Formats: sequence, structure tokens, C-alpha cells
Amino acid sequence: MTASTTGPDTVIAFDHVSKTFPGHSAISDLDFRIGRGELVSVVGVTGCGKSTMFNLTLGLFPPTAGVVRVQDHDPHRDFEWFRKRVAVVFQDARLLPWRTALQNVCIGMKFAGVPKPTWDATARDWLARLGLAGREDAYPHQLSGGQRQRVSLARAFAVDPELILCDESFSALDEITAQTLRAEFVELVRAGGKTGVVITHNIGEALSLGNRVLVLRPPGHLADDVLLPTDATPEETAALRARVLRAMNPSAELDPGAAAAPNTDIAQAGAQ
Amino acid sequence: MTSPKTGSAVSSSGSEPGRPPLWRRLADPKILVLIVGFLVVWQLASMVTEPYTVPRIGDVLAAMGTTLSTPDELANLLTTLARVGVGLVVSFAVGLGVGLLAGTFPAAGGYLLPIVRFVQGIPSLSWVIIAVIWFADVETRVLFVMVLVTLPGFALQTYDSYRAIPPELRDMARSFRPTALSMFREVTLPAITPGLFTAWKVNLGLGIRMVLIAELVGATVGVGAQLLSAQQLFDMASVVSWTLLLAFCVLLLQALIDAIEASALRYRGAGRAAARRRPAPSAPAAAKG
Repeated sequence: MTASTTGPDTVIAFDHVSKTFPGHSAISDLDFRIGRGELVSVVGVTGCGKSTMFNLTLGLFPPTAGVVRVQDHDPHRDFEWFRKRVAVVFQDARLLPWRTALQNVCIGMKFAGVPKPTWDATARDWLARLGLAGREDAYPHQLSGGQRQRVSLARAFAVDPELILCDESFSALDEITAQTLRAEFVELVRAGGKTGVVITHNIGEALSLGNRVLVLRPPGHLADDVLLPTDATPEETAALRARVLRAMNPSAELDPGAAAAPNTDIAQAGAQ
Repeated sequence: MTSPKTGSAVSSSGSEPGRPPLWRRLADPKILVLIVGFLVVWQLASMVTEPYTVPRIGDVLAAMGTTLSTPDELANLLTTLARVGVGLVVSFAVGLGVGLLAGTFPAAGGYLLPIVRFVQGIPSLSWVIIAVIWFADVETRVLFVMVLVTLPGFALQTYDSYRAIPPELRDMARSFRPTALSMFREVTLPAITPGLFTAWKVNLGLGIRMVLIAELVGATVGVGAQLLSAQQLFDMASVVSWTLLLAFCVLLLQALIDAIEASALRYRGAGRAAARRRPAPSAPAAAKG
């Protein structure tokens, strides 16, 4: 099953993109499309170019070769155009320590140019949706790691962006909290009709989050593009997991147990 | 410096916004014992020495009363404080600009920072002598000396605080595409504020000392000029009176800076209070998530 999304509904398009830094090539001939409303996971071993792809999508730097288009704009050249259209949830919550939870949610809207009169009500609403009603006035150091990440999710969703990017946003949390937040994240993305891209090192997370998995392999090219069925049987899921693992590391002899494990991560895949 | 990942302070600082206010610190029994002990030793010493060596407490209090109740005398104290204030504000403005410029544009920092460090290495007294030769006007001399002596502290502290801003916070802010002004107001300024308070506290004491030295040379109004006059008259009571008045003013100004700092950095106090309330590690976490 290989996805190919093109046309006016394309939100992210990498067209034979390469990115070279002094001394090494981070991405080489990366080519894929992500359509509107898709929730796509990106997995790959360390150094496969996930972060570079993420930063190129954000427009933090231009590609060395090829074309990156996000919502039909150049994310680097038209950096300001993406204000309020893109939001990011990072691995760590990255809250401003001098701001309360409520103010941290408002700050995203302020940065994104959302009209001020709506900040307070929107921020309170999103904090309540994410289970933080009553914690609006808490400073980040008064919140648990999971609560901080909820604030960061609220900050991203409050902007009402069309595209949400997650950079290993759930990997620093304990598994129970991560599962809860993943489920909440998927529900919010689907309910809002948004497009989501989740970078993760956890294959189980990649298979459970979205409707599609992009597998990257060093030096930053697409190794596989896997469409996920909505109601996969355990056998199908195991087969998909094996396929992803094989794409990440084609020379590895797959251990059937590892392929079936629900939370196989990059370290395991790379070690095989 | 601690990481924002843990949600605590961003910039290193010697400040302690969570500490008790000045009046409560002065009410500490140990401080009271020290003050009473000092006064007893002072009184005993004044009884066995000449007034020009150790003046009597009563004479000093009378001199202080005269100063505070006589407008012309009081003008000396206020003039000195005004010179300190103006000098520090100008120095702060320039130092903040230099520090931010050096932090924001490394190429500019490559030129500015060596100059600032060179200026910092020049003895304060040399600046006083240079000022006397260069400027006939007393106010210009004092301002020149104040700015040159305190500017490196403001500039370097600003620069260091700017560099200490976690890049993760800047990246987070940039991901929302803020305007440059929003970025400065919401990320840069709050992040460097603790360092700025530290610089103010250090430079307040330094500024007072420098103004007095500058006033000793050529000024006719100001505490430094009055100290010189008292020295020429062997009027030790006035010397101690002026010195104590200035010291009290510095204490009040430090208390004012402490109060502003405690208000501006109250999130740190909240963090300390939360840490005190936090349950033992074995207790179950109450927080969701």
C-alpha cells in the first residue's frame, strides 16, 4: 500500500528535496506529499533526517536542492505567511516559566496574531478540554510533565492552525500519560479537520496515531510510505510493523517477537 | 542557571526575590544584637578618644538632624542621589543596548565586547582623572565617570543573560511567527530580567562610590563635596553623619530594587512555595498526567 497524494488538497509537498550541512548530507532526494486532513507519522532511525525534514517544513532553513511547499507556499521564503496557519508541539512543553498555564496558552495566540479579545476565553476553553480546568493560574513548575504537555497542546490548538506538527511530543512522558494524550491529540486533529504530522521514534505510536506512516532512512530519503487500514486485525498490524521495521533497517533479520511488540522503537530496530 | 524544561528560572542571578523584606530582616534578633553591640562599642570609644577621632553618637545624630531639616544641607544629599540615579539610568540604557546588540548580532559583539572588557579593566580612579582633565563641568564629569565605570556591568550582564536564553524557547516562539517586538517583550526581556536586577544591585553600590570620588574633585554641591569640607575642618561628626545618611539611602534603594524584583520575578517565589508544599517522593502524585 503506497500513498500518493497530489493536487489542490496537498498540504505538504517535498519535491526531490536535499539538504546538506557542512560535512554531511541530512536529506537526500526526499519526495512525498501529504494531503489535507491526513494524520501522518514519520519514523526512522537516528540520523535519518526526521528533524531536518521537520525544520524544512517549518521553514527554519531552505533546502539545498529541490522544492518544499506547504499549503502551496515556500515555508522559508514566506515565513510570515504561516502565522496562525501552522502550530508545533515539541518534545518538551517549552512553556515560558514566567507565565501561568493560561498565559502560556494566550502567548501562542498573541504571537500568531489572534485578536486579543478572544484570548482568555479560548485559552480557558482549551485548557478545560485538555483536563486542566482549575489549573489556569499554575506556573509551569507547579505542573507535572503531562500537564505541561497538555498546556503545550492547548497552546497549539488555541491558534486554530490548519497544520499541526508534533516533534516526538509524547516520547518524554510515561506510557499511560502518553497513550491518553495521543488519543486526545488524534481526536482533536480529526474533530478539527486539521492536518497533522507526528515525528516519532516509536513504531507502535506511529502505527496507532495516524492513517499513514512515512519511513525515512539515512541519508534522509523515503524508504516506505505505508497507508494504515482503519480497522486492522492484529495480524495485519503485525505485518505492517514488520514492514516498517524492514524499511527502517532492510539488512536486519527481524525477530518475530520484536515485530509483534506494540511499542518497538528506533533503538530496537536499529539494533537488529 | 536552570532549564525551562524544569520550569524554573531562566537566567542566572544572585537575586533572591523570595527572601523576606528589609524591615523583617532588620528585625532579626542577630541584626539587632549587632547594631546594639556596635553602638555600645562606638559610645565607649568616643568616651576615651578625641571628637575628631571618634565622634559622640549624640553629635552625629545632631548633624544628621541638621542635614535633614536644613534645605541647603539636604540638597547635597539629594544632588548626590540624583547624580547616581541619572548616571545609572544612562549607563543602563547604553549597557542594555550594547549587550543586546552583541547578543543578537555576533559580528557586532566581536567588536563591542572587547571594547567593553577593555573599559572594564581601566581603574575607576583613572576615569576620574581623565574626566577632570577633559571636562570643566562637574555634572559632565560625574556622568562620564558613572557611565564608564558602571556600563561594563550592565552590558556584560545583559549579554550573558541574552546568551543564556534557552534556544528551545526561542524556537517555540519562532514557530508561531511572532513579530520582533512580541519576541522581545515576551521572551527576551523576561528572560534577561533576573540578570538586569543583579546588575542594578551591583552597580548601585559601585555608582555611589564613584559619585563620591568624582564629587571630591571640583564639586561644590553633593555629599562628596561636604565630606571634603568636613575633612578639612576635622569635623568627624559630619563625616560620619554624611556617610551614614548615604548608607541608609543605599539600603532604602536596595530595598526598593528588592521589592520591584520580587514583584517582577514572583513566579520564582511561587516555585519555591510549590517546592515547599510538594509531597514526599513516596507520596502519590496528585496531578493528572
